[in-house]
Amino acid sequence: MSDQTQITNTQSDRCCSTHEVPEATHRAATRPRTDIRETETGFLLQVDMPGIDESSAEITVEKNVLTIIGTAHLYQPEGFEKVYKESDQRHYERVFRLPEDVDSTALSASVKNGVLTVSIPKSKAALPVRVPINAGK
Amino acid sequence: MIGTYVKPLKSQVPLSIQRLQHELNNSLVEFRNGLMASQGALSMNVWQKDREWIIRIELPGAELENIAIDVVDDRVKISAERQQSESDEGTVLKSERPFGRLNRELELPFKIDASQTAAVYERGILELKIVGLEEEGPQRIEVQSR
Repeated sequence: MSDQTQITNTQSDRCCSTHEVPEATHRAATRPRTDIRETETGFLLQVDMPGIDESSAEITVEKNVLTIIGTAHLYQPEGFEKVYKESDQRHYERVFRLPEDVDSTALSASVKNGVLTVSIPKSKAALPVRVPINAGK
Repeated sequence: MIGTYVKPLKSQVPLSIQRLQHELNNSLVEFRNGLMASQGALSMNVWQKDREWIIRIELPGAELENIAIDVVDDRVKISAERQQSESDEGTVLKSERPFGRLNRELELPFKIDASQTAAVYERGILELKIVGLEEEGPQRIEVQSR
């Protein structure tokens, strides 16, 4: 189920190259739906992970690979019988390959209403620089 | 529209065929919803204990004011609207999350007591507790002699 999504800032291949990665766990993993936006200063990821909060999600960066995992710990109603099931337990897992020009030490993340937002700033060298122009003498 | 239940034509077809249609329709909806759920779409789970039902549905990123639950007789309709991110700064590189209006409708085997129905929205999951109205038992009509 796991694959790797590339976040890139090159015009020719702006996103979505996927690479097979060995299965990390034996649990059935849900690949959470993600929106990626690039701004002048960085990348913004919004990941749908209903059922998770700040204590049940984990973000790790190793070299240029960003891994998001999370498990929704949902209680099973006691004394009730399940009559319809689509997916009651969720283990989310998704791997992204970061472009080289990001500052992976300055990532920040927050979670609200089951949506995880990850902000990845670009490294200083990658930020646009405005060059002041002096009047010619 | 996700998981809309289409009511069979009650007046024209025999009861056994109606039941078959109902089963078939439900299994198709179930298959489609299950398939979508495995791909990360909204999924629903239902539990039952006597006349009490618990319905749990995934609605990540919805705001409380955009969630509506309508109860009519034996049907409950859950609708929510998820708005596009307020920030439209920058370039979209990937857009997988669904936006707009999402609906799910359920038909329960009893009339719903709306006064006892409660809903909680937490961590992107909506949980509904539905209680059925007490069924009126069969009423015996006294036969009078003349």
